[in-house]
Amino acid sequence: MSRITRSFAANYAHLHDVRQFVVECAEDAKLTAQLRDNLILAVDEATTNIISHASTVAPHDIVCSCEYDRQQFVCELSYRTEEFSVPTEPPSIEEIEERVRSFKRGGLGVFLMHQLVQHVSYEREGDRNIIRLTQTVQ
Amino acid sequence: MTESVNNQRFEVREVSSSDPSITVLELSKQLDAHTAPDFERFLEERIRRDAKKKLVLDFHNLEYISSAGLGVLMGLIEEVRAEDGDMKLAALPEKIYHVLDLLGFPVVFKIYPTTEEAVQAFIANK
Repeated sequence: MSRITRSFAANYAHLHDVRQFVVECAEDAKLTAQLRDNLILAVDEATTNIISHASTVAPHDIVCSCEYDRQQFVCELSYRTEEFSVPTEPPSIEEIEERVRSFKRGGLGVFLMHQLVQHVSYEREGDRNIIRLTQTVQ
Repeated sequence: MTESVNNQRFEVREVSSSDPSITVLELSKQLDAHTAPDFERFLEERIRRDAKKKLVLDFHNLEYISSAGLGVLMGLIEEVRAEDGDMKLAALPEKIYHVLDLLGFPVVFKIYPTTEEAVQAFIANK
């Protein structure tokens, strides 16, 4: 299994760099275009949530790791913060449809993340929060 | 007045329309949480300062969109429709449409294959 890790500043200006990193790993893993695009957006949404909600994220401290083989692609985002503060429970499709009909913005990113990959998990290890996005490849 | 937004990662500009009462805005490159505020300011100026109420957003050159970009549309569509206007979406690449479809946007926003069809829909008052 291949594992590549890179650190990014906790700043929206670096979202493009995070996405580009996922592109490189996805292409190395020879994912289909659809799976690649889904992963890129899911990671973007997770990273955006980290930056917007975890106000105490240490700068230059979002560590993104992509681990993959022929069966599975896992992207892990970890960051140091005082507590687990990002939204973890996705709204239901009915809630999202109601929010869209009512032109309410909140919750779209978390919902998308859960729709785009097979499994999303949240853990805390020491002083770091870890979000794992897992997609079966075969 | 901001005539266009043009930075390294995202662009939006007003392009000519077959009907001068309808504003066509062409989006390019990538719309995410970093570039969405610029897009929002640009749209707000068009709607509030320039009183543009019939807007067609041309997506054919947009490479990427996240929920932050969609949130900009949601934040302003109600205001536009409250004044008898609308924001129609046109020429969405398949992967962009896929994201909107996951969120149920086609139920709320009218989406057209081409910019001209969206313009004509305004003219026909559809």
